Amino acid sequence: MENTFNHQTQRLVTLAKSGDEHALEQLCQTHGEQVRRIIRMRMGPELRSKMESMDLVQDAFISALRSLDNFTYKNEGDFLRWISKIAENRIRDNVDKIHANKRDIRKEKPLITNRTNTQNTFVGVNSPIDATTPSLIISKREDLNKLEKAMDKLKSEDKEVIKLTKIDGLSCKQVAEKMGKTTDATRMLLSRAIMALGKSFENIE
Amino acid sequence: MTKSENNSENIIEQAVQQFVEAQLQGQKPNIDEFVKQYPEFESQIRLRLQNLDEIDSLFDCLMQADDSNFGDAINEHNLVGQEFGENKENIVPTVVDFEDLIPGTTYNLNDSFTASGVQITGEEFFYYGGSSAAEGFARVENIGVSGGTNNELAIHNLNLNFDFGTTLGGLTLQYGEFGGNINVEINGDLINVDNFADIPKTVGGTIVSTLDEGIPGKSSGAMFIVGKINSFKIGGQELWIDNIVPSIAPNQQSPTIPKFKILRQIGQGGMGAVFLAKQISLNRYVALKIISDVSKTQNKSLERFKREAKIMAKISHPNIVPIYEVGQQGPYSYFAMEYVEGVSLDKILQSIRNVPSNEKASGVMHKCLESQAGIYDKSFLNDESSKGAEIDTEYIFEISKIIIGIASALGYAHKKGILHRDVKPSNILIASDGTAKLVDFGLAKAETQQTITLTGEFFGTPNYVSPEQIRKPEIVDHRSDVYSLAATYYECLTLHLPFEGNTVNETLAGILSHDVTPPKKHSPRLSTDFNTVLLHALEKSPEDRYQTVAEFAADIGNVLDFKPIKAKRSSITQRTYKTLRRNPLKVVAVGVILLLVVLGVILSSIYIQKRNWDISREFYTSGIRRYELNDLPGAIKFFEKAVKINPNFAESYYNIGECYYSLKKYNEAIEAYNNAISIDPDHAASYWGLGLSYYELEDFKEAVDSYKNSIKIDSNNIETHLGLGDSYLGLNLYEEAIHSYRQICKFTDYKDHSYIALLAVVYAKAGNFEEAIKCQKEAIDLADDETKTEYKKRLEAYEAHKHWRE
Repeated sequence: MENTFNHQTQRLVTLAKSGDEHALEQLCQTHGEQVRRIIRMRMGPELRSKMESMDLVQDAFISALRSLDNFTYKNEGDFLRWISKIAENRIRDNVDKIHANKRDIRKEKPLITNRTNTQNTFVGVNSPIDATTPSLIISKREDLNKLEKAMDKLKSEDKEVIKLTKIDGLSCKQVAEKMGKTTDATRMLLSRAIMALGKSFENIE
Repeated sequence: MTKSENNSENIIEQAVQQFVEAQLQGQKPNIDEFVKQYPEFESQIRLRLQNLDEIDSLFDCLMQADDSNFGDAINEHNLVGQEFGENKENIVPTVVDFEDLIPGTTYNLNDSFTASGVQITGEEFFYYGGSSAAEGFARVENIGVSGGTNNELAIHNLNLNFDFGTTLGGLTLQYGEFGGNINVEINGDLINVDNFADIPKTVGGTIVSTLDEGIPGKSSGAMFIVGKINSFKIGGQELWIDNIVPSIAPNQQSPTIPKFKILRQIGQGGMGAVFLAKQISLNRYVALKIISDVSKTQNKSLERFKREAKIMAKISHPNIVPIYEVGQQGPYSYFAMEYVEGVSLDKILQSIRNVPSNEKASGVMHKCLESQAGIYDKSFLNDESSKGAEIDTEYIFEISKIIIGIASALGYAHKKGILHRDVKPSNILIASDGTAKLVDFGLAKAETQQTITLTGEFFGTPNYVSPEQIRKPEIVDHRSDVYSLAATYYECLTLHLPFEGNTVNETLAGILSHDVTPPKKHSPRLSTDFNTVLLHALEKSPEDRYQTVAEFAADIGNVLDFKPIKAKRSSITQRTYKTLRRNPLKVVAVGVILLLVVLGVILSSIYIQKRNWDISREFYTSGIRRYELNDLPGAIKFFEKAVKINPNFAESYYNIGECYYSLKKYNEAIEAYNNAISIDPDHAASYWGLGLSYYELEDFKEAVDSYKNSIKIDSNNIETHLGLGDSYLGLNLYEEAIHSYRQICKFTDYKDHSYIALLAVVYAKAGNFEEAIKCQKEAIDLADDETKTEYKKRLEAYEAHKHWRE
């Protein structure tokens, strides 16, 4: 996966770091849905439903953007990974907190939330992005939902290796180091995982 | 799974894995070469790999920059690092969220633009919405910059649906009504171009039109863009329009795509050009549509297209032009489809329109099919008499067959969950054998995206678009295709469009809110049933239409076979109801206006009167308060104010009288009482006041009359009887006085001894001592001890008088 560089994001990050509220808002608006999707993809279905039901993403994303000071924009993937990692951690913290309070959120809200609703209520987006020209991410909503489901169906090892490569952007070599395997073995694992994902994806209607 | 199936599945899987691993190792295996190794399973392997490719692209979409987020990003060099004069550091992008703008409000750029370094002076932003019948229309005009040489105006996220009219430095772009013609006006010179790509200089994904020098400083003019502007920019001498996708210009050198040998261009659309090409590997002719892949939007469209093309590749229908292959080559995306030898329906219609009315439409159609081209006899073009060929029965029959064929194709696709979204005559090809074939299936969806955003094709031909497709293109269902097919059929049968506007937005407005001109008006020969079927299929609301293309086709069949049709003619009330539902404001407004016309005078006078009443009431109340505080002159002022506003305020006049009476200004009091009486002749209290006043003025005669009037209205007021008695006494009319006083005694509960004693006095004065003694005795019985003594003295006196008389 090649790294893309977006001047617009870079500029907004720079402006946001200098305290420009408007730029921060813009970042929320332009990347919110993408980040939400990344987090969803990383989380399992259970955590995902909690995240949706608690509407924590907004909060997490904003707080992640607040700590932009430590971040320098290098490329889009980096930025997205960084921000979604922080946001994800925040969400996990929140979920833990809620668990500590012995509140079973499953009783509060159904596990399966109405996704079409959550679609429109994102960070700083007062109004949903104009439906006539959805951004790429929104236009692929259905496919991404399908991919999420396909990912959920994978064995945990397959899932992990795909997450590491496709989302975290690690190379086979890096994954191998992380997993304590040889590069060749990792590549084999990855190709099988990809195949499995392909099949799983195909079978989801 | 049988053994052989299992076996082939294994081969496919191994092949796919081999390919994936090669990719993982950094090799870039060619899919086509690769699949050739497995001729038996070529399509399956290709599909699998395409699937994996799609998954990859989904991850990419998650993790990669998405310029569409920014509403088409303006490249860095356009914003940053450019010379902006002295304030280089403070360049802030100017972001205008149109959702925040209030329709009809004029915004000064200086207010809404915070950018420093960007000098914008004295220009106005005018957002205009809602006044057009079509909702979502908006207009931006007079955007410009002035002063200095480094003027930059950049607007992001200009989220307008169907915006038009954007004024930019001296350049006018205007879409023509058909075929996406664009008039480009550069410094007053109107240049007619077929495509945006013809605008000078095409750089990357941005069309740069060079303006003449000297524009900075006085940038103003008009640019009409129908569609969506995501960003535009004027800087220096250039106009930047992002998100307008240039097609491959006809004069441009044909692109090279391996595997295909491009022979000639056969078409030009909003999204790209269509070429006749030879697919080298398979040695067959194909129609190759090439999309110059220069913008992200294009990618987006292509993604959608690829997905649907995949489904389309699996299905086949005699009335659908199959897509063979989808691919990408360098900056171009392309797809290869069956090359249909024939002519498109729009060319046939154009030909039918161009010939004189003594020709038969069926004949023209056959000629077109034979020559595989439209008939363009220039000699007829400007001929007044050429109102188009005669719509003959044979033509109606053949056209109906074509429409039924297309309906069948659509029905088939709808069952597979695919919408066409762009059914129109130019997408219907009539093969030489007469078979109708629907083109651009699958692409349609992708193209909708494009058309809604900004290309000529859609805006050249919005005529076939359903109302819901204009409103919410993302949520249309198959019934939208029913509408578009009906619009096409309508045109075929009438040579008119369901809605004909002079401008694109007029057409769109018509589609959204006007009634369809009944087809019979254009072609009186059409049977009523055709009329009914077409109007039913062209209903604004999808629920009111034929629910499937099959139903529509079946009813067309019914008309042709003279069978009863399913569609019902809508009654006038239904139509009114529909109009009302569609445009409630308008209808209600008309009703209200009518009502106002009828009741206007009454309503307004009642209103004014009511309002005046409220005010004078307030003065009156203040007057009463003053009166209670014994501020009589103050009270008079308020009462007078009250009657000034409401001259019919009798009570207020009466109170003026009361005040004057208390002030012993009897003449003024009399005037006031009389005013009250002239307004309200039954104002008993005022007569009473008159009586009192006249009595005080010792005008007993007037007093008697006044008291009498008062008693006439209200005989239960003791005071008036008493006053009348007193007044009679003043006139020395004792009998009358006694009569009046006696009236007081009639009141059953009246046992006041003083009045009886008074009566005694009157009797005595009248010389009737007998009665006087009688009354006095009565009074003594009722009186308290102290008064008794006094009364007894009087009684003695009366008795003495009586005795003396005797």
